[in-house]
Amino acid sequence: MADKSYPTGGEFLLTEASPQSVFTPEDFSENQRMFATTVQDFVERFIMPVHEELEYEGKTELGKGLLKEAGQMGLLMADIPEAYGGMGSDKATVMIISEYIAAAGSFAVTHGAQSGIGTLPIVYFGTEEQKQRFLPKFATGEMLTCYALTEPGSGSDALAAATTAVLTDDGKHYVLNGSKQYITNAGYAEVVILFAKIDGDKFTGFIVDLGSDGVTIGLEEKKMGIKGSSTRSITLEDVKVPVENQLGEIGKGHHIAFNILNVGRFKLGASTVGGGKLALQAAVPYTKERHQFGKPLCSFGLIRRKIADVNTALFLAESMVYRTAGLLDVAIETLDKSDPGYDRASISQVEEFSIECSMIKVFATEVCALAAEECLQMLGGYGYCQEYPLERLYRDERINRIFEGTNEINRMLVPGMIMKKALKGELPFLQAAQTVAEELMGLPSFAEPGEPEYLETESKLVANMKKVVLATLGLAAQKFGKGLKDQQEVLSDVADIIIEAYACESALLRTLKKADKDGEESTRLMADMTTLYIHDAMDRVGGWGRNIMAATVEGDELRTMLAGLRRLTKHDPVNRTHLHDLIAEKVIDADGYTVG
Amino acid sequence: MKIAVCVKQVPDSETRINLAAPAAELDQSGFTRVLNPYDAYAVEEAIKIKEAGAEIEVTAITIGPDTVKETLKKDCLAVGCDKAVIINDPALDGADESALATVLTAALGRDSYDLILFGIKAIDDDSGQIGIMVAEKMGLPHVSTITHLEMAEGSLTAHREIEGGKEVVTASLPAVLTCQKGLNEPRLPSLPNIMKAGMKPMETLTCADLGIEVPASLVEIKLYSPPPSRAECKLVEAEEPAAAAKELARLLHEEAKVI
Ligand SMILES: Cc1cc2nc3c(=O)[nH]c(=O)nc-3n(C[C@H](O)[C@H](O)[C@H](O)COP(=O)(O)OP(=O)(O)OC[C@H]3O[C@@H](n4cnc5c(N)ncnc54)[C@H](O)[C@@H]3O)c2cc1C
Repeated sequence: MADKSYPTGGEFLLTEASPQSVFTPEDFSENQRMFATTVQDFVERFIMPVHEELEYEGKTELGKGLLKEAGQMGLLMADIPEAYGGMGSDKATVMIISEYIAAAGSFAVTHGAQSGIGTLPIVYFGTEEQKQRFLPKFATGEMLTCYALTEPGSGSDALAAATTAVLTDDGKHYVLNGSKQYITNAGYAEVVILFAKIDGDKFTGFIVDLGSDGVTIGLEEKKMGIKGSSTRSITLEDVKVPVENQLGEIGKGHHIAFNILNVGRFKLGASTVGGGKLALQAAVPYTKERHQFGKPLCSFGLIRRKIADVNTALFLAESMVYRTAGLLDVAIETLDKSDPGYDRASISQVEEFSIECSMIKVFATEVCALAAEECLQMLGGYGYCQEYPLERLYRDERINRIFEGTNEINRMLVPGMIMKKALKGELPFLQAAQTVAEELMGLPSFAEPGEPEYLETESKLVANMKKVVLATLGLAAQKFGKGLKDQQEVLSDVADIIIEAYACESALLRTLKKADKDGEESTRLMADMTTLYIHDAMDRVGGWGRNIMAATVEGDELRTMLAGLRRLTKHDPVNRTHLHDLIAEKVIDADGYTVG
Repeated sequence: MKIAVCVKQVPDSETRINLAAPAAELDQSGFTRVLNPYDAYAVEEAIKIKEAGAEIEVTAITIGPDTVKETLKKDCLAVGCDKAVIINDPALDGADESALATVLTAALGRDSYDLILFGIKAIDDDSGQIGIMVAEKMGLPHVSTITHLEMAEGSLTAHREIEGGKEVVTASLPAVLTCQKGLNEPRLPSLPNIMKAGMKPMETLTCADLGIEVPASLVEIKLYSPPPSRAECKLVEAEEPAAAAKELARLLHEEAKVI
C-alpha cells in the first residue's frame, strides 16, 4: 500500500475504518446547511414558477435565463478556485449543492452540465491563461458552457471518437471536423469543451466557440424525461479553433475525459439521493390521506414495507455518498493550496478514488430508480398520471443509469480498477485474497459466540462481505488470469458484492459514529435500517458469490469453495416485518425521508 | 447614515408542531427557524437604501436565544447588513411586547440611527406592536404598514396601506417604519456571501450590558394541554329494559367497580 497517512481508493476492502474517520451528513457545517437551504430557496423562487413549462412543455430555452439566476446566487461556482472568481469549495459542499438542486428537476442536469462537466476540464487541465479567460465568466453564468464527449458512433467507447483536428500550416489554428451527440445545454451554450483526434490518433481536448463558422447545432432531442434540459448535437465542419484553445496535453484527452467522469459520477450520486428523497416525500403524505378498505394506505403492510425499504436504501446511498465526499476531501486537504499545480493534483486525488466514484454512481442511481418505482406504485393509478409528480420522477430517473458511464460500464470498472491497483502493487489485494482463500479451504472455527454488542453482528457481516469479495475476485483472477476482463457476468457479480460491502459499511459506520456522539437511543432508526439492509444484502451477496464460484471452478474445488462461502454468508434471519414496521412508522410520521 | 433593522426569528410556517401532551411548554426541538417574513422586507429595504447611497451602514438587531445567529447570518448579514447585535438574556423569556420594546429602545439608543425599520408584525405571535412602541418610547415619528419608500435629504416619503386606499406620508429623519408585503422582493443570499457573512461582526449583549434592568411584563402567556379525550362509551344492548338494567349493574360492579 502506498505510504500515506490517509485512506486510499479501494482500501476499504482490506482495512477496517473507524466510525470517527467517516464523514456523514451529521457532520455538515453551518455553512453547508445554509447552502442546502439556499439551494432550496432558489428552486422555490426561480424553478417552481416555470416548472410546468420546463417539465411538461419542454421549453428547454428557459435553461439559459435560469443558469444566469443560478450564477447570481453563486450556484455555479463551487468547483471554481477562488483565484478565478469561484468558491473553491470542498467536495462535500459540491455534493450538497448537487443533492439539493435535484429538486429543480431537469434544471439539475442543466446546472450540472454548466458547473460540472462544462467547467471542470478547464479548472483541472486549463492553462493559467485559459483559466483567467473562462472561469470567472463560467462562475457567474455570464458565459454558458457544455461538454461533448459522446459521438453518434462512440458512446461508452468514448475514445473511439471520430472527430479530427488538423493543425493549419501557419500553426495558428486547428481545423476540426466531426459531430457530437446528446450534448446537454448545447441549445444555448457559447462554448463547448470537446475532444478530437490530432493526426488521426492523438485524442485531445479543445475549447470551441460555438459561434465559430462551421458549427451547426442540431434540433432538440425528443426525450423520455428531463424534458426541460437542452440536448442537441453539435456538428463541426472545418471549424477553425485557435491553438490557444487546445486543452491539456496533446494526446492526453483521455485524462480529461476520465477524470471529469469521476467527478460527474460522485455528483450524480448526490443528486440521485436528492431525487430519491423527493419521490418518497411525494408518496408518503399521499399514503396517509388515501383510504381503501376503510383504512389509510400507509396502514397496509405491503405499503409500509415499500416505505421502509425506500427510506433504508436512501439512507445507505446517502451514507455512502457523503463518506466518499469525506474521503476525497481528506485526500485533497493533504495538498498545498499555494502550489501552482494544486488543481491538477487535486483531480489526481479524485482519480485515486475512482472505484468509490463508480460505486456511488451505480448504487445511488439504482436506489433512486427503486424510489421512483416503489413510490409511483404507492400512488396506484394516480402515480401514473401527470397530475402527481411521480410520473415525472419515474421518467426523469431513467437517464441517470445511462449517462456518466452506463451502470454496466461502471460495474465493469469497479473490479477492473481494483485488479489494476493490485497488479501495480498499490493495494495488497492478492495477498489478502490468498489469506481468505486459505481460511475458506481450512477447517471452520467453532468459537462460541457470546451475546453480541451494539451492531456487532452487522459489523461481522460487513467484514465477511469483504471476505467474499476477496475470495471471489481472488478466485476469478487466479482462474481467468488476463481473460478475466472478458468475464463480464462474473465481474458484474463481483462489482455488486463490492458495492454492497461499501454501502453497508458506510451506513454501519455512520450509525456507530452517531451512537458514539449522541448515544444509542438517538440512532434507533439508523440502527434498524442498518440491520435490515445488511441482512438483506448478505442474502444477495451469497447468491452472487455462488454464481461467481459456479462460473469459475467445478467439482470438489467448487464444493469446498461453496462450503466456505456458506460459512462466510451465514446469518440468522431478522424479523423483517417488525423492522419494516418500525422504520415505516418514523417515515410516515416525518412525511418523508428521515434518519430519526 | 446609519440604519437599524429590528428582526425576529420565527418558526417556519410549515413547521410541524408537536403537541405531545401533557406539556406546559411547546416542544420546539424540531422547529425549522426562519427570519420573520415581514422583517425580510425591512432588511431588503435597508439594503436597497444602502446600495443607492454612500457610506450607509446597516445593523440588524434582534432579541432571542443563540439559535438566532443562523438567521442573522444567512438572512441579514449574507444579504448585505454590515453587522448584527443580539440581545440574549434568559430573563427575557416570555417577555411581553412592552418589555421587548423597552429593551430594543435601549439597544437602539447605543448608536444614533437615522432610520429604524421593522416588519409590521411577526408571524408567530402576530401582535404588530413593537415597532410603534419603540417609536413612541424614542419619541420618533413613525409610519406603519409601508408599501413604498423614497428617501430624501433628511426626510422620507412613504406610502402606507389604509382601508380602501393608500396614504402618502412625509416624515423627517430619524424615523421608524414598519414594512408590509409589497414593499419589495427580498433577495436570496448568494453562497459566497453566506461564507463572507461569517466574518462580519456579531455582538451578543444582555440587559445588563445595555445598562437596564430587565423590564417587567404585564402580559403572561400560559399554555394548557387540551383535556384528555373521554374514554370510549359503552352501549348496553338488550331486548328488555330489565335485562339491560341487570347488565348495567353488572358492568358497574365488575368493570367500572363503582358499585
Ligand atoms: C439526456 C442525455 C444527455 C446527455 N448529455 C451528454 C453530455 O452533455 N455530454 C456528453 O458527452 N454525452 C452526453 N450524453 C451521452 C451519454 O453519456 C451516452 O448516451 C452514454 O455514455 C452511453 O452511450 P451510448 O448512448 O452511445 O450507448 P452505448 O455505448 O452504445 O451503449 C448501449 C448499451 O450497451 C452497453 N455497453 C456498451 N459497452 C459495453 C461493454 N463494454 N460492456 C457491456 N455493456 C456495454 C451499455 O451499458 C448500454 O446498455 C447524454 C445522453 C443523454 C440521453
